[in-house]
Amino acid sequence: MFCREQVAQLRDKLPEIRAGGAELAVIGNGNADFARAFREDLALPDSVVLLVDPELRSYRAAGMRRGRAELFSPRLAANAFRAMRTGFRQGSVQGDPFQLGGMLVIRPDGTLSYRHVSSEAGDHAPLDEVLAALAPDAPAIREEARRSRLVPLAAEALSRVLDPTVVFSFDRSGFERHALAFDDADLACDLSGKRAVITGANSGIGFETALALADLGAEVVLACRNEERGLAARDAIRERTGNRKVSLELLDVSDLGAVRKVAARLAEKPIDVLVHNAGVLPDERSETQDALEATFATHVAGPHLLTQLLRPALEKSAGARVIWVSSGGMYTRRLSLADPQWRERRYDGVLAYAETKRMQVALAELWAGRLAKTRVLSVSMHPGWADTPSVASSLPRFRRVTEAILRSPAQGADTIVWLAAAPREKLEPGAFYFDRKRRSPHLLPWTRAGDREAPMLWRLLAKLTREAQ
Amino acid sequence: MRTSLRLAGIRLDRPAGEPLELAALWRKQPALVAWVRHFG
Repeated sequence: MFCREQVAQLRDKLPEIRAGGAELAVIGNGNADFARAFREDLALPDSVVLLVDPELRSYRAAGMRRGRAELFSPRLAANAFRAMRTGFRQGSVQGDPFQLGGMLVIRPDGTLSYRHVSSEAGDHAPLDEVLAALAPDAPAIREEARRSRLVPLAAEALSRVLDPTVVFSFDRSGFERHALAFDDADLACDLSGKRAVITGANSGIGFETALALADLGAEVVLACRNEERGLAARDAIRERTGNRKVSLELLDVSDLGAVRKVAARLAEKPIDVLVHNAGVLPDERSETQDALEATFATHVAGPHLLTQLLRPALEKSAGARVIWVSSGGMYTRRLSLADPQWRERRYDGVLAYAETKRMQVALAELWAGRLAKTRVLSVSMHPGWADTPSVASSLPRFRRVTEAILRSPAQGADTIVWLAAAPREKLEPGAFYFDRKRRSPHLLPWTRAGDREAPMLWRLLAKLTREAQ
Repeated sequence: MRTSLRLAGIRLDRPAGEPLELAALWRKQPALVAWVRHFG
């Protein structure tokens, strides 16, 4: 009944909304049949855009609340009495009954002039405030959350209990809890004049990283294998951010010859951010034209060579960052150089992925050591469990089981963006990060390697990249 | 990331099944977007 009451109020104010030159859209948590009935019952004109969101993606992106406790608020009875008195009755509920609603006024430049997040059912936005926010001279609101100082402390305390479960750390609830301790000021920055190169940027976490950095004003180079998808990503980022300085560079990072050619072009101008994000998880072992196992070439040899070749361009920056996008899967593996290219073992794509992701964490540390006397910072991170096209295609069973709790790609990309843009004093060279916080690269004692493996990895890569010349 | 940017790439269906990218709502004019708990 609350939903009907709210939408009926908006319908009655349609002339004023239109006078403000605004579009009215109503998004509901349910299926198309219910939406059609809702439109008919309320006599909503066709000009009101009605959309269904059974997966609640837009609710999450808009920051709408969801919770059982809110449904038992003492104000709920008063809201229900008010709605019933004005003639609204509860229809049959479907979709997620615990999802709450809200309202935003979004302007063509992407700023918000109004935001209302319902704190319980029936908590509607005051219409006079909404209409005032539609005025052309209405000020933009600050998006940073205002929260009590106790919230981050409580979130940290809860994380100490829940993070060791892994699931409730790597999943969406983990991100949402960790995010309560984020400092919004870290990303309140302007990256105009900065240049970022992101591999594997046409979808998933790489795309979201590119989108966020472009939105902060950076010049962004999408280094991607597929021209069609790369151009589509470039155009989408340009359109959504208004930033025209987004370009595509075709690069298969597993091909060392291609890395050399593209690096020569990229190094013509200073580079402030280099994100090693491109990844593969093949079912079967295959070799690149440099006779390297494909996973090893994509995650380790190619990015290592790219870093090496771009080092002069990185050193020209006032404070460049090299970010290695690893995976939580690496926690299960120890750094081992016994058979890095799977020549002596029966191939297992998931293990090859995890082993090379462990190597990336080691490489971030090794590069941090090599770059210690420069202003270039090398760090690694893992994004948690995010719902990306790669996960859907490479790990379909994992996705089926975890679908309901996976992070969005943007949540997965958040720490990369933070590492690229946050104040330098908040970052440690060579460190491993997750959800904007330094973490141990080991959860299991047997994954700690001896002192010899990391230098062996460096020597192996030096040899392989020299041979591939 | 700004809320509008998080929302922009999401495509939702109209009741007839026709998809709409949310950014289209505010690309040319302001948009008042209301999220209702459900259609009940």
